[in-house]
Amino acid sequence: MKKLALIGLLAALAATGCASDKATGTATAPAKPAAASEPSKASLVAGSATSAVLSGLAASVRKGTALVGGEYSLDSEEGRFHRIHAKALGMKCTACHANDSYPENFLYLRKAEFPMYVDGEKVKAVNRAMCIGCHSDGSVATPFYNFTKK
Amino acid sequence: MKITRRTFIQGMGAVAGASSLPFSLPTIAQAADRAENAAKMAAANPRTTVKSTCVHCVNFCGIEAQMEGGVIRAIYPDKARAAYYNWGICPKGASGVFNTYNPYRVKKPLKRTNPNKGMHEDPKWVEISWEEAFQTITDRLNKIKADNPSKLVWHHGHGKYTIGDQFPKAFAAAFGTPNLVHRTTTCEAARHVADENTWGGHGILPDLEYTQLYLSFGSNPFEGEQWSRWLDHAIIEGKERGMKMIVIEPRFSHAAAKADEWIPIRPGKDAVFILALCKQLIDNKTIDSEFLTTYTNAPQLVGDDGRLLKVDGKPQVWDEASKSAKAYDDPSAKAALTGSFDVAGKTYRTAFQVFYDSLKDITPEYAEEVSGVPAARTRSLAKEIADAAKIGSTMVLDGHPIRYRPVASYTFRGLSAKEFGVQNNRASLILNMLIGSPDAVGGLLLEHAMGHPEYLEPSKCEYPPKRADLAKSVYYPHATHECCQQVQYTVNDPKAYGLPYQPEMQIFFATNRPFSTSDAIKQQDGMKKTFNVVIDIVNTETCQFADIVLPDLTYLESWHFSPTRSTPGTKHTAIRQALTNVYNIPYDAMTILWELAKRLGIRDAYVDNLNKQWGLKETTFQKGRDYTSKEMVEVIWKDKTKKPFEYALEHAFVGKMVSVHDRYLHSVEAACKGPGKPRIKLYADHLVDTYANVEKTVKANNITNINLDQFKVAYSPIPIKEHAFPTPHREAKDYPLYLITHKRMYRNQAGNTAQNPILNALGNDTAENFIAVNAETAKGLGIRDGDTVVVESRVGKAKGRAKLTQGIRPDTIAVSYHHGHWSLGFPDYAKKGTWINQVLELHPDRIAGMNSFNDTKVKLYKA
Amino acid sequence: MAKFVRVIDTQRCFGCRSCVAACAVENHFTPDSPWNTMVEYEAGTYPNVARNFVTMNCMHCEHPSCKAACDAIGVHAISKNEFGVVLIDYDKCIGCQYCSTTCPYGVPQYNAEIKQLYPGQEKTPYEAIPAAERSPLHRKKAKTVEKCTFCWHKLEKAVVAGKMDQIGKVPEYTPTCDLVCPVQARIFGDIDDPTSPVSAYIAKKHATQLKKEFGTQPQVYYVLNGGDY
Repeated sequence: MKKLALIGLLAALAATGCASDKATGTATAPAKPAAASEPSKASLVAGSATSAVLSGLAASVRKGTALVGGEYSLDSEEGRFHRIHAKALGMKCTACHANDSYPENFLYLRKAEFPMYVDGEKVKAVNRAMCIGCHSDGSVATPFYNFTKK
Repeated sequence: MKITRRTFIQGMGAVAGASSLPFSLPTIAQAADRAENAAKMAAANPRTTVKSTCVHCVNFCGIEAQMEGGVIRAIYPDKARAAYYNWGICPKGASGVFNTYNPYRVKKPLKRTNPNKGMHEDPKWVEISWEEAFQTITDRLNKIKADNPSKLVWHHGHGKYTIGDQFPKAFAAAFGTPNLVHRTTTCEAARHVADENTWGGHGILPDLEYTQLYLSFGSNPFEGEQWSRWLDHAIIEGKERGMKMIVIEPRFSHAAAKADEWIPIRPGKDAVFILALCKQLIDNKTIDSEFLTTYTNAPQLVGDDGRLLKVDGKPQVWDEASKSAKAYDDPSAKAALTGSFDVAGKTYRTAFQVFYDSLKDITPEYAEEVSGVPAARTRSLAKEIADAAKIGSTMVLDGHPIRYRPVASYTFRGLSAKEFGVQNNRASLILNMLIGSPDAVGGLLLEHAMGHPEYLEPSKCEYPPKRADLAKSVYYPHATHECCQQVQYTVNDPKAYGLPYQPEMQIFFATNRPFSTSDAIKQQDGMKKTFNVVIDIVNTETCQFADIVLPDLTYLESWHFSPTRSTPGTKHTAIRQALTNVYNIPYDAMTILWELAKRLGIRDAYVDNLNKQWGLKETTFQKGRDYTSKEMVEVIWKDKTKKPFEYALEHAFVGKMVSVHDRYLHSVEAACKGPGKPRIKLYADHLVDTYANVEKTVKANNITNINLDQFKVAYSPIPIKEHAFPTPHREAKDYPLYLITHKRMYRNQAGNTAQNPILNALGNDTAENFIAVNAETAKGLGIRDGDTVVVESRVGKAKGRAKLTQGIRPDTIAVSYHHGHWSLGFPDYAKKGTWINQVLELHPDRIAGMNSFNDTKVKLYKA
Repeated sequence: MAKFVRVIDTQRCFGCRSCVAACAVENHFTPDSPWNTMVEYEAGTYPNVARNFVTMNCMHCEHPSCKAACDAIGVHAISKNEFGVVLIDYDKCIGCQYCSTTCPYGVPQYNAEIKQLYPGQEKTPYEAIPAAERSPLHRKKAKTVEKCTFCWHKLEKAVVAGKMDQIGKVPEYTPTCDLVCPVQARIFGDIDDPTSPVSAYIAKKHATQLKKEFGTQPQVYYVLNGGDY
């Protein structure tokens, strides 16, 4: 699950072609998508520039130098959550909000809320497994999951 | 004890067994601080508990109310009751706080100022004083009493369970009206009447502690129903022990979801499927012949006229040894179970032979054609039943060797809520008899067989009827549980039924006939003709036709010597006690009745009748004084339990275990075997005589609204294939789909749960109901999930939202009750969903008067 | 010492939602923010149909991702106490919903506003219980997040009274959802005690935890009835 998520993320990033812009930690608008079917070989090699970029961004978010604003919320424009993932990382909405609703046998307490409507816009369900790759202990982003037992 | 850090740490050490604590002292110190605060809070607002009994439905679960400073904070199950009945409580019970804390309740007596009554007419209520309410009611009652007390009709439903029908019965007797009508014909009356006409009593339970194969015909303790808080636990335990449960019903209910197998039978066709199973069992020679010849009238000789051969009043059997007819209970007779015999120049078949001959065409293939159950399954199921039944075996319990037949065929509304409810139930009883399961270990337990032998006599078919509900008249000859949906038809046109008076006043106590019956809109005409009083906690659909509404107290605010539900192994006696009185309502139904009796000058007669109705012997109600509700309950408790009332206040119930003897040997074994004892009627011969009485009465009185052909079919002494073809199936040709109705767990049937905010928020599917339609069928009709659709029958139309499912037959749709309320006294949020009752055709069972709910045929289309 | 866990047996559960109702009543339910919900669904094709009933409340994870997120942004509104219970402090919560997004199980519920149970009507005596007389866990605040507390307001009384051995055994010291089940499909107790009913149940009925790939180590176990995840 972790590997798949990470590869998927890298592919999404490559598709938006904005990896190089992130080296300085400046938030820029995502570049126009390049030839999406031909990700550059370099970006798929472990320990590559992309991985360094992600670590750099994560570090700058934690340090407070990333320009992702100061509002801790889920607001799609102003909230840090979406500014980090959708703007700084350039993840498309559909990278996370993949399906209208969860599968029948998926166990999620708030399942029945999706799709929900926020300010008239449809918000599709998110499979949290998307987050495991980056947000596990030992991975690039702030760890929430898979803490090893002390 | 004051909690200090030191005492806390000492306490922790004691609990941990003085082993090394994994937390640092500062952490424990923090915990000690928090605990100290918690202790302070607990001391300021201590929680006390009061035991009582829930009355959302007829399970009467033991509950323990959690009180904080006089506020009901929560309702828990009373764990002490688990050994005798309920292990837990349902969501209605758990949210019962809001059955009481409900600002939409009726709080003061109301009087209508708009003289026009109608389902959409605003009654324009004004609040009146209790004095004015009592005065108005008593004035009218006095006039009626002086003229003809029968002109008062008393109705109750849920009310029977909040105060006991003994109180209304005593009042009706003291007043002099025969018209007291309970709601059983909207519940399961047909099952009771089938029992009564088969074994002279009513009440069945599967002996689930030992059952190995449990056949449930539309019985659904996981979403509704009586005894469900025992049935659910016993079924789940049984399953884990290896019991196999097969659910036979058109819809994939929660019962089907927990079953090992779901047989999706076509609605209304159960009789044919069951008869086909019977034929297989007989053809395979896997029946309990000894049970049939010993305990039932299967060997008794039947003539061509359908009547039993009797000599000196005793039915005869054919003795195979002497080759002659002998009295059925002659111990020297070796009775033939099958065969045709000549007695004094006439031919007689055994009742069993008559039954078997009637099954000639009811092959598995025929059953498949009619009921949809595959022929192969009927064949294999008959074998499974035979294998599991262990015919001939016994189990020794407590030193008693008892027949062991761990198969039970059981039902509640599934076989009952139909035009042929009695006969469908009898088919299931006969299935049980064929394998010898009545009163066997693991089989079907019969409550007090032959306790009422009069039920096995033909009906006198009274005409003209004395009662407005026509119970036990020529119209419903064996309606021993009243006939609640009939009253308004009679009130609307008494002459049509030969009723020699026009009812003038109706009192409805906690019942909602214009909402809960079939073809329900037709209830309204009669209600417009009488002066109506309603006693209830919320402003229901019945109130739309009321002249005066009196508020009642809820079950958490009032007292009752509660009914209880026994299980095969346990019994208990209980009370319900008052915890609060939120709106300071000064009367409850018990004291309303008392006050009316007093003002009418019949208090002494009321007291006499109360003592009679409650069967009080030592501690009785006394004349010449008044009683509070609490005092009334104390009288009954003391007489019934011989225990001090303080015990009731503390424990709310007293329970006892049922001995093996009482469980298996007191009923069928004691009452249906041996010389002089009657036999269980596999063949209900007396129905032949009832029909003859009906025919005679109809012809003698030129009655034109009784269809004798239909009565003849209904009164067959054995179930026949015609009982799988109710009127809508035969007549509603242009209506392709079957419509069935069902209960849901999140509401009860009395209408007072629709406003409960917790029940409406248990998911996004509990505030309303849906029209469940098979996904393939819906596709064919161009209906998508969530579309607004119309359900149309020959009598009405209703709109609702379609819910596509795989869990229903393609030719059937299902809509639950409880929703689509239309009373103007309900807030909008409590009126969501579809009111299905306006669409249901009403064809009462002609034996029991049972309201039919599941026979309708409909069209379905997008709105 | 003592690790409190719950076992939910979905083979026994028949979908009555009594636990959902009981939790709501016990915990001053605020509309739209249930702490316990039922996930119910149908599978198969007529006539081979199945239906599953699974309730979910907080997993009280050993390594809760909600707490990790809340700590990471410096808010520290979520704590895991010495008895393993994960709690939200409404006074510290800033309503950012980061915990809602990180929770693998969808547990934390954001409360935009505290609605009355009967909108537009007088408050019921239940709702009128003043905040000061309620457990802090029941002093709901608009624009904060709330979730199941393992009925800590009841468990802590057991701790105070020195009756931790009665947790999960007597109604007073058992989470209310576990109390009301008509078919005993829920058990609450100490998994560190190898002789406890929960320990035996988990082994005997092959109970598992949901979504182990997140590694949060939930303290709620499930006996599953099918391929749920």
